[in-house]
Amino acid sequence: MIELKNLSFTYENKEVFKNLSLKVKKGEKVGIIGESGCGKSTLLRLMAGLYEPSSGEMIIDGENIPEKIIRKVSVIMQSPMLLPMSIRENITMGHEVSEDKLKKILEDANIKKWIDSLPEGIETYLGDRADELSGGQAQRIAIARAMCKDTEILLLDEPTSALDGENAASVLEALDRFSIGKTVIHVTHRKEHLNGYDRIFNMKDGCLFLQ
Amino acid sequence: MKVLKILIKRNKFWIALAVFTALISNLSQMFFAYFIGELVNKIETRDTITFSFLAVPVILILSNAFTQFFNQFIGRLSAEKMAHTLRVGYAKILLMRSSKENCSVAAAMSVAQNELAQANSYLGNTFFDITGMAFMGIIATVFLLFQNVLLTVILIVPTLLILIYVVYSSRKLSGIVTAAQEEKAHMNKTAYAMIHAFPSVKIFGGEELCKETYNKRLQGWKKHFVKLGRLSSLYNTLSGILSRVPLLILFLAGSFMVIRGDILIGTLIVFLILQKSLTMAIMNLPNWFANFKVFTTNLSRIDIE
Amino acid sequence: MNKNVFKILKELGLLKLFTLVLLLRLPFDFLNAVLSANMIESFIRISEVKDSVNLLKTFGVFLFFTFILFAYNALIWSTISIYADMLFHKKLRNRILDIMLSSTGRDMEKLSAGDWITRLNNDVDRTSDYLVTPINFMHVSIAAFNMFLSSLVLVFLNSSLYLLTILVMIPFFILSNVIIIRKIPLYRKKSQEAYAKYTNWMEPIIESKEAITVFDGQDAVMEKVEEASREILRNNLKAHMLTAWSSFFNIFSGNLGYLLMFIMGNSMIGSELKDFAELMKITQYRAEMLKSINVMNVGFSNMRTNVISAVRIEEILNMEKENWKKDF
Repeated sequence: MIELKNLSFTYENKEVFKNLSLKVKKGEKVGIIGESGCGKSTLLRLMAGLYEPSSGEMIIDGENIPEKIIRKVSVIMQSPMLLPMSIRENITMGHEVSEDKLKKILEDANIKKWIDSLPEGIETYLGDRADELSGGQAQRIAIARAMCKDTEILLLDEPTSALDGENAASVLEALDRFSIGKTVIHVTHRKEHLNGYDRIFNMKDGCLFLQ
Repeated sequence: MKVLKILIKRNKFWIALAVFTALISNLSQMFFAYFIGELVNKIETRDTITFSFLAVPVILILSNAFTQFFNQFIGRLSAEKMAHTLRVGYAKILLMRSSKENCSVAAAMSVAQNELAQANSYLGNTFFDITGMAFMGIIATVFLLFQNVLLTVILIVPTLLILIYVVYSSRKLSGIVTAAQEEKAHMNKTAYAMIHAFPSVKIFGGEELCKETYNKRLQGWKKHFVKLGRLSSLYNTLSGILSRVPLLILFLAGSFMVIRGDILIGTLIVFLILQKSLTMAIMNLPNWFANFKVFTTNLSRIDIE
Repeated sequence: MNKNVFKILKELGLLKLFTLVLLLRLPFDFLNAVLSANMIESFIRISEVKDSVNLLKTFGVFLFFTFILFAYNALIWSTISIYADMLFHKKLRNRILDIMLSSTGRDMEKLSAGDWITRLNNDVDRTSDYLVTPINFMHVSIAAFNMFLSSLVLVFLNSSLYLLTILVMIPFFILSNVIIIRKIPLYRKKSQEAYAKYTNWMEPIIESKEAITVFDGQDAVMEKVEEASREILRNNLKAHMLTAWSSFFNIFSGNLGYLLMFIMGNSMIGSELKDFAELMKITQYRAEMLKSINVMNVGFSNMRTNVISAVRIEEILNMEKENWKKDF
């Protein structure tokens, strides 16, 4: 499903990693831990097709070109990256989604109750008011967005790092439900978030070490 | 206006110096115009022009050049000092605000890119030109009163009527200016949020939605932009025609007074030279009023510490 | 026209429309000059020969022509000119947005968020300013047209006084425009770069405010922000100093030429010049030449400043072409 062969990546003349290789099977859950700035988020962005490797090969769900890889993955990042549009548009990103599917997504992401309580419901505009959302609410919208895209591969980049304990637990619970049967790469500096993962790697000096 | 008051208060020395240099520079130009009038009278009466007579205007030419140099530099220096106070004050208030009053990065960037950038540009390029023109207008009026009271009144009355018209038209324009500014701020906030959320936009294929949203904002701005442009062209044209009227009236009344022997042609020429400064100022007044309105609107959206 | 702005217009398919706007607005200043010069001559002559009969009629004729001329300008401005400007904004903003949204993550990170937004907003505004706002390309072209035709009229009216005008004007124009003003864009560019540095402070100030407060770093941060702001101030002042010098030479040559024209013209009345009214007409054409040269002088400076934005926009437009090349 995911195969990185001798992957090297240089950013602003600095070698982030060199000759990195990794194979992840379909449905496998892999965690990557490491200190801040070790390059784990960069690796995730590479796997998301946002960057192009300097050398080596990267095959994600049968694709090896960044423009095509990007269509095969969903990513949830530290920041929910909401846009000044309605909640619906933030979740669907303008793509056609049936009302039934959307309703289920909202329930699975634990935000249906909150959205229903809003005067304009899912059509609520998240313009200047995006700042009024709690971190948990914003991140759950990001999860709903990923659920909407519904890809085989889910990449998580410290999705709970900006949340307090209660919110983080709730978001992780929603993520656990969502990731059943999916191939997951979860980058975090908190090992306790990786309970039940098939393999956990430690990233150090641009290399991955199996824990 | 609150912010403007703070800016002026914190830079009062430079502003006072700028006002002083503007005064000296304008007075020098008035006296030069006066001597040109005297020269014309000598030409008209076929009087001999002596070297000693020419010494004064030659000195005034040098004085005009030097005082204009200081007027330009000191005026803009004081405006730049105010812009610096504004920039630092804005950053300071963002840093000092409590978390509760926090504004988003998108909003702060939008203010920095729009309101603050425009206020900066206005202070650096336009603010002292307006002040200089206003000064010139006032000093020229006083100077002309000393030359001939009746002709000055004949010149001032239609000019005042134009001023009333200008104030009316700029009020009409200011509402549209504010609306256009607001739409533009929305447009930029949308663009900034898109840049900030770029990875998500790419991963979740939201490019088309982003274009659509940005275009909706662009359409809103376009409506006000076209309206503003059309009204500005109409008001500026009317203002252009009206500002020619005092000159024509000046010629009509002035020529009549010369024919009657009340004044000499030299005096009419002095009026002609100084009237040009007044006319030029008035012709551009609608734009300046609109710009000043944009400036104060921009300042009203900026808090400083 | 600057080659970057030309390329942008061509790429947006607006070259023909802007050429049309320019052609339609081109004669305004010269026609206004002809009107003003003849008005001064007519009224001064009436005063000199004490012709009170024709006074009111002359007033009416010039009022009528003034109205016609300004009405023409308003018609062009409020219809086709505004339309062209609006289309320019719409097309260019959309094109930059398209490029932005189709670029890769790495391409996006080549510029900071502040830099992207500056290109999408401020740089588009400045490029539009270059084309249409007062004392930029449009005005410079109109002034150049006026300068050329006013010169021709002046040569025809009195070649000696034309020569005097040129001799006093040209050296100072070269000094002011070619030597002094030339450096201004460099300081403007530096000032814009310093402004980008200043705006880049907004994000860390807001996002890391609590950390800055907890670790008592306000003074250190404010010192950095102040330095960034002072850098803008320093560069702007260097530009203002050059503008002030340019102004010095313009005033000096303008006043000197005016005085010399009266002295020289005085000796020609009755021979090469019909009367004082004709001398006044000539001074008006000279004033139009000076006005035009001043508009061109300031306009070239503004254009050079605004062209920096056009260059930055070209960089973005080229980014798309480079990506396209890379794909094949």
